[in-house]
Amino acid sequence: MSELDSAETWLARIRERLDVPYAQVLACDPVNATMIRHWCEAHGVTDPRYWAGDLAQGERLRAPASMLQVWLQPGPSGWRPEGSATTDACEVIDWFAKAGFTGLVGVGVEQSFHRPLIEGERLYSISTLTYLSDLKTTGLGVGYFFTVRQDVYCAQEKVAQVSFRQLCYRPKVQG
Amino acid sequence: MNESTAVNFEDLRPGQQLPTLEVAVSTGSIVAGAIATRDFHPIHHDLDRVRCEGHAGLFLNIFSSNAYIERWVRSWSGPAGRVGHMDIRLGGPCYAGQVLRIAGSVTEVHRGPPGCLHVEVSMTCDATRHAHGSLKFYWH
Repeated sequence: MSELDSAETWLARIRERLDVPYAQVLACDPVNATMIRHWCEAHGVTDPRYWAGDLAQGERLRAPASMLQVWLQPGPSGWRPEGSATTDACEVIDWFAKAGFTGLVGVGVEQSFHRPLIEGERLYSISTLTYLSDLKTTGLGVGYFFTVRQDVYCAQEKVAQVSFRQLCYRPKVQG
Repeated sequence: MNESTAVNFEDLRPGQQLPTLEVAVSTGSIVAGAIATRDFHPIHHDLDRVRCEGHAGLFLNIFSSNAYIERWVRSWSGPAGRVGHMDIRLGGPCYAGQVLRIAGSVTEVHRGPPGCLHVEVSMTCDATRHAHGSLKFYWH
């Protein structure tokens, strides 16, 4: 197989994934007060509702909006609850890496939070590769820009959406 | 988020500056932020690895940058508001030892209900432009 054929094969494999949703990935943990407080401590957030459960009568704890992706991240072992898919649209990063595009940088992230997430809620996400550029020359090296969208649900309700654009590049050889 | 100066939504106008937030970024805060956001990629905790990749040191992860943006806007608004939309373009990395500065201003005020502000945000780390973008912020 020539290099050109090989390139067409792996790129075609990625292109075939465009706009095809992946299966549901289940959050490892429900929205919970402990992880919220750890996040607050790490980032200097001092809201007493998070530190001391200082809530009004009948008020339920609402997670900070920008913790959205925290609920969906796997841990260092990669464990997911039973019934969860084990791969999502981020698998294209591995395919780029195998083709020599081992560098990865974030370019931009757009998030919509339709409503606050409440303590105890269990989330899942459906990811889709929504954009793939042609081969581009950048300051870091040649590479491909791509966007993965995550649609985030609680039961049947869509609660948030994240679109993350990244660049996979072939690092320039260090002089 | 209880550092509020009791902003009154009715008084807000486009052009109003938000107070600048400064955060001293350290190896400790980068690692704590990465673990608290469940980002176990080695570039946020493995100094040997990041140096091999040509970086000056460990750098802040994106989820932590988002966290500081939310802290910045909600420190100003008080508990009344919530972030509804964030659109952030990423620039250069924010390394341990640098000072992260978050600044910005109100660009649009929609009286609602629900009341909604559009806010532009700019993040720098020392002289590096770390990120910039916009927020929609709902006022309940």
